Amino acid sequence: MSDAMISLKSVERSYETKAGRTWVLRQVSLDIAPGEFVSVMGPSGAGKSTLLSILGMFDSDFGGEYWLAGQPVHELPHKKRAELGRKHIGFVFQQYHLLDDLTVYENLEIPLSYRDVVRSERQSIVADMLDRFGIVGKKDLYPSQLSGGQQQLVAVARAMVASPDLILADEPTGALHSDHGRMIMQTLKQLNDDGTTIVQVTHSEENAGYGNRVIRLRDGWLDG
Amino acid sequence: MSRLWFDLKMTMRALVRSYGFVAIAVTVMALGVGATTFAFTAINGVVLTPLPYPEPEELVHIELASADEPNGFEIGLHDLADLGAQQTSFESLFAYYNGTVNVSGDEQPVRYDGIFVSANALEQIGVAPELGRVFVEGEDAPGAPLSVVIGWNLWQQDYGGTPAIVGTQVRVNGTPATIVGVMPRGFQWPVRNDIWVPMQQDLDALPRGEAITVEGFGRLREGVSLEQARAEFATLYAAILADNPDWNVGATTDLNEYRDEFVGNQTMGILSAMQVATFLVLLIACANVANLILARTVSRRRELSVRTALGASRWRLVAGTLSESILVSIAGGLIGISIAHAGGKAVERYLIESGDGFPYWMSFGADLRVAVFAIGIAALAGLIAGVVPALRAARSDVTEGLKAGGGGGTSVSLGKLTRTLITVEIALSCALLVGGALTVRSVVNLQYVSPGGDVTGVMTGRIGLFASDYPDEVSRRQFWERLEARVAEIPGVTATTVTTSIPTYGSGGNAYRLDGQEPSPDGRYPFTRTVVVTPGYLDTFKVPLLAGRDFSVTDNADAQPVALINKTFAERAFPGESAVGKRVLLGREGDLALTIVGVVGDVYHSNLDNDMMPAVYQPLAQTDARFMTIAARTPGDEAALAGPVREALRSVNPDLPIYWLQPAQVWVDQSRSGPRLLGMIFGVFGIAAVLLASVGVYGVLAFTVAQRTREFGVRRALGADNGRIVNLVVRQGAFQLLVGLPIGLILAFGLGQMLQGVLANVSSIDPVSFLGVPLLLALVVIAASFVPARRASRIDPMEALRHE
Repeated sequence: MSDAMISLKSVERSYETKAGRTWVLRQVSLDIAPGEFVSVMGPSGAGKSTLLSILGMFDSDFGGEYWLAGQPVHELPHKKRAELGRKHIGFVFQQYHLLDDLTVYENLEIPLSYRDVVRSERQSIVADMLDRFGIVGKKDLYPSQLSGGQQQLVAVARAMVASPDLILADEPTGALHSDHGRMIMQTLKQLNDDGTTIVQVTHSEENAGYGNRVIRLRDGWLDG
Repeated sequence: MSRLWFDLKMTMRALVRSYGFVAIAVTVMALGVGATTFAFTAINGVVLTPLPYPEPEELVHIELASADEPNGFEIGLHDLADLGAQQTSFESLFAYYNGTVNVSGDEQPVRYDGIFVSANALEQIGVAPELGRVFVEGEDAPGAPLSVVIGWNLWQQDYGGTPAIVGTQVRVNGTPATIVGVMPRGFQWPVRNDIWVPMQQDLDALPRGEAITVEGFGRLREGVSLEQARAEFATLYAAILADNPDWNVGATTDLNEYRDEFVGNQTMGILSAMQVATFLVLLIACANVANLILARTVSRRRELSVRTALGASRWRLVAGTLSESILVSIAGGLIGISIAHAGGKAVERYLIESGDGFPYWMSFGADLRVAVFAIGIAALAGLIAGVVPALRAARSDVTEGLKAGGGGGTSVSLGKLTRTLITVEIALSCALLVGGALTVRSVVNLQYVSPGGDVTGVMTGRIGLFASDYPDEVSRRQFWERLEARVAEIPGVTATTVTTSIPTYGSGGNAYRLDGQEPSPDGRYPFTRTVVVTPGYLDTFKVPLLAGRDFSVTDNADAQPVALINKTFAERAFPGESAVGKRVLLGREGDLALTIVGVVGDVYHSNLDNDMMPAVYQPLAQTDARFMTIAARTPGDEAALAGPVREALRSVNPDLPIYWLQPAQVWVDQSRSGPRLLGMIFGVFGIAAVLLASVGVYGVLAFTVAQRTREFGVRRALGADNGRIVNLVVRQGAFQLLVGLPIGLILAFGLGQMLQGVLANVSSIDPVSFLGVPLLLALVVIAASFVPARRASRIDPMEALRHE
């Protein structure tokens, strides 16, 4: 297998509807190398979010091959896939999706808990992350007490807390004011500079400019 | 451990913030677990609590049984003595019988529920006295100096707990006696007794058929099994019957562990029915909580998806949802323990007050065993309620969940599972409610069962005469005549009688045959109740005279022995012909011939839920009785007669106590107390079930309406009128009703069969219950559907379309 972080070979995704089979992705083949910052673009309904769901392993009902860090995701049982995801992937969502009942500190702590990191180690990692993102002062606040930009910053910090090799970001600035959006994109760029592979879905050419490659989708096909 | 604690902390945090959900779920579970635990307190008290005697499993209750009396009956003292002389299974046999014990020292005599025992009884029971000694061999011999042992309560209340009590002289039922011992605190064997007197029965002076019957006991010798003892006694008793061919034909000995005395078939039937009923309540509660969690899971879809995206394994999600359900259930269980304790104690008080012989060591309160049961059952209920929603939560589509954002789509449905749970709730509620309706109707019917005659306006009081003070029939008869005359002089009294049995009190009985009938070859005779009365009985209790005449003063000891019989006797013994003038022979030997002078209306001389028995009334002037009830009728308030009746007795004999001085109506009410209790319990279960089901239906539909706000808005915007929107919601509840009710009626049929033994005057397939309950439930469910439906119909389309 190649040294790619992500390797897709003829990946296809379709849904059975009353009107027949509807194709969302067709014959998608691509490689993403470690350290790349890739932006997936395309009009609504082009298959961007479906592609991200497959990359994030939320969707296993696809055809073709998906290799992540040299592992054949398409062949792995559910449990192994989940383990692989926990090891390599962090997520940033358009709507931040912070857990409303948890403080900033606890939101950062929870991915570590899901990876069975012991308490003392969790405390030290979360403290580092709060420092790194400059949000120490916000650690005891709940998401509802933060601005949209601050929430997304916490969401990025949360995506990074388990030290993933790969961040999947779905319209990370879609719900933000432009100033906040730029701050988030700079943060992602910084992470990429530090070695994290980033795949973002975006409609914004400006945001795509932070990356080093753009993949365009149209009607489920890779464009060009 | 760290992970578990982290998850638990998170779960508790989430629960604290969802106080609305927690409040409802905890309340629902408190009801369900409370009801189940309440039934368990009874099982714990009756079945699981060990008898408070050393080696209780060695104590064996010895009775007789026959085809007519398969549940056992007391054994004659002769039989027990003969068995005791020959048997080898037990260290020794002992016995007791209940009786009134009047104790007088320097003051007015006081009456107690006493126990007359064999001299070895307290020693064999094995509880050492607090002070002095228990009885020794020979103290139960006829003519031996009388000694008594008293209980702690009596010692404290009547003698101030003085250590000098042992050796104190008192009069017991008129006979001088010495207090030889005090039993320890809490000991009231066998029921709630505070004084023990040796039974000084002279067997040589009494034929086998006239000796009293007793509760027999023995303590098994080491190495002897109950089965071996049963076999030995069966052989020995067969030999006794062979020697006495006319005696107890067809009877056998019936030996059981003493504990089984309290867990008879009927008791177990009632307890089982209660436990089944409460498990149904618990299942309804589980279904409700499951629905609440399902609804919560739907609204937490986004959160659960985020957790999955952040790396939560399926197991962690399952555990999270399950721990919510279990924590809520355990919180409900803790409240349920209080509910069960309060309910159990209320039933305990009711049973003690109704005088049904609630043993002193039995408790229906909560103890450690009950608490462990409640917490265990709560955790199990939490597991049952949470497992399906938890699995659903763990399998939800992450991509869809993340898209769902914080609000609902246009058509969020709780799905097939929720509808199934609602159907289950309706079915279980229907079954429980039918059970409740059957028992309540049974109680209501009992209220309308007339005890016979009319007891309102009648004051009664019981008096016992003792052989030492009234040694012969003449002196006793004179006493009763003088007393009745004094009571008749009380202003306002319009009728009086002295009788052995007032309505529902419980009378003695005897075998009988009709004049001209040959003695039965197998010794079997029909049985009649026998009641001794004075001529005012019919007037006092307004019992109608149906044929012939009432007793008169001419029916005295020198006249021909006469009797009145009740309607049931007349119909059974003399169908289609007049009973007046015929003769009836009482006793197995038929040695008392009575000429029937009249037929009177039926009166219950036992509980109202028993079948009416034949009854023979004898005039006091021609027979004898030491324990009788004085009864006086007044057109005014009968309670006002208590003082004057007591005064009347004092004027005849100032040393005699009168007890149970109460309106005759109290006896009738007490006879209805058992079925009434059961009716109340099942009624409460039924109401709880309907409440839970209606809350369940309401909760689910209200949630659905909230989730479908946008859809209803769209429909309204597209022109749907109020009726269509209401119809859309109500139809959802109605469908579950149509499926749930038939299933519930089938379950109800099974429950009805379980209750058959305790239902009085109502069929276990009573059409009123089986038709009325579904109708009621339908109304409740439609009403519960209507509230959310109305809310849906009032949704403003513009508001709804902005709804997230």
